[in-house]
Amino acid sequence: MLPIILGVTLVVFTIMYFTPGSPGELLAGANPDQAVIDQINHELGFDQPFHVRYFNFLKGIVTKFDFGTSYTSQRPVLDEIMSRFPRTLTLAFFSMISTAVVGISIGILSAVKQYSLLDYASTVVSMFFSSMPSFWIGMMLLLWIAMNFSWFPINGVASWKGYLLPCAALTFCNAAPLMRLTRSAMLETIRSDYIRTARAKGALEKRVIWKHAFKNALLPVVTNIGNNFRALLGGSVITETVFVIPGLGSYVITAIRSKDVPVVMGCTLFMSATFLVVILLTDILYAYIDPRVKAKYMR
Amino acid sequence: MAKVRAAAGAEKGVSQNLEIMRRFRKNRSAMIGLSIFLLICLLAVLADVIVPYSEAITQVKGARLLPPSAEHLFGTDNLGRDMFARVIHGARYSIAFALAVSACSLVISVALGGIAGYYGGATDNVVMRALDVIMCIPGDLLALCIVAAFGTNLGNLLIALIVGQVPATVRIVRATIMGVSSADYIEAAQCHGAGDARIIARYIVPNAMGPVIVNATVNASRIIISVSSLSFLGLGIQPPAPEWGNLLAGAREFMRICPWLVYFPGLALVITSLSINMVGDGLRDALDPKIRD
Repeated sequence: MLPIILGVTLVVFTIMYFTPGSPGELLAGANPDQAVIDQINHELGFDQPFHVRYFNFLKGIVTKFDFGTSYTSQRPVLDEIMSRFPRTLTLAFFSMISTAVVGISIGILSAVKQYSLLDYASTVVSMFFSSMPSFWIGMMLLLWIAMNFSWFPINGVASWKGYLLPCAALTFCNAAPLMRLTRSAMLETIRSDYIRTARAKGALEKRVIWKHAFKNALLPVVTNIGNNFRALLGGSVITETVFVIPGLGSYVITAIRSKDVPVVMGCTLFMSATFLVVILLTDILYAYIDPRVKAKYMR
Repeated sequence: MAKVRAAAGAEKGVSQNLEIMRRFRKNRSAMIGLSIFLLICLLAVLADVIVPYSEAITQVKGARLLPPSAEHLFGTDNLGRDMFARVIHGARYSIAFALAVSACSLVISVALGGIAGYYGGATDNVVMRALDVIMCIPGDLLALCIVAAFGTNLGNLLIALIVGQVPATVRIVRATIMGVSSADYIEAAQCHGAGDARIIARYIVPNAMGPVIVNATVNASRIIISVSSLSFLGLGIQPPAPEWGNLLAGAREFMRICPWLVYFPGLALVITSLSINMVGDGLRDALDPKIRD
């Protein structure tokens, strides 16, 4: 995990290294003197070579947990991130939960009742939703729901109601592929021999589905949910722009537009680290779901 | 002897491809998807014949925010530009990017994944760990950073999207190739004294192509959505050039009074990506030996 984080810092730092312009030009105000620009750049260590700057950046993070200072607001990047991150995390977390609930339950239903009307309907609908960009679904929800029912706020997350529509938009476009995955995983499991055995020995259908089939079909589904979290975090950039949520995503966009390099690097690192934690949690979850995985680590 | 075997192999290869074609053609939704996609491609190619590009960017003062009518099929935007022309010309960007990015990332991924999957060991480790790092950065964010750092132009946008696509595709290519490499016929070829290059080109790539192509198709629809998302955020294709994402971004302020401004570009996006997904699904079913009829 640590080498991956190191790699991420290197990739992000290298990309940001090529960003045109220097902090001096941004900070010195209107019509600055070249000497002033150079002075600021020197103070920030911007005139040093690549490897020195990269090392200093790492040293700041490791020793002082310092991600740098925002060029625009002059506040530590970490403070800025921390004041916004909870909103992004809340949105991503609840979207993940509702995506899992909707996707898995409909997926199982349509696998169990294959070729039924419900199966056809959900397959067609999920096909549509998985082809829709999340920002368009968001705009449609705003247009049709938020603008017609004043109960929903049109932007911001001042109250919990503000999370409902963004969460719904993310659920629509993420649950659709998950439902298709669950359905095909379930179908494959249901056809296997041990399910026939379970049925033959007279187990109740409910028990066969939940106890025998579902547990075995769950593994690829859990992997997909974990990987989806990455898309949710990255997608927060778009969702938060559509719904005007002051979270990490909209902050990154502002930072990218104003060339606020430390902020962009800090946010990207933060999101990647969060994703890594989620992947780690998924791996731990594997051990709980799959005794084979557990056995491998017990030895 | 070798000649006879090669001939038999070629014959079998052809018949297998024909079989896949036949099954694809039998799949109704895949054929509908393919026809819609081809139609959209045709619209994109003939965009200049249908409506000249000038209509898409000329601002007409007297024709602002007009609702759809016979003269302006999709209405006009806040600067009096004809939305129909803008949506039709927008197809060019989406289709071109979808094709270019999938093709480039396919070539790169097949090369990288092939090397990693075939040689395994240290080579595999180096390639895959490097890609793990990129995989870990949220894709949209990485593309945004690249575009922001190197400047918003078509070339950089292309690179940003390819970098976002490659890691996941390499994983799939590698997994497929590892499966194929352990097959008996590869061992047979090695016993015959075939070199690495020949084995990769002649035996591994053709056999591993199926899942990889399905994946590339599904990716193409994601790329269309990514391009429009980046443009929506103002870091993709820049106005006044019409692209579905930036049309939607421009329409955001006016969507309450002029909903048609968000309907048409959005529908164009959904229909295009849906048609590609339908083709991808059909290909997957046609290539899957398990659901053979």
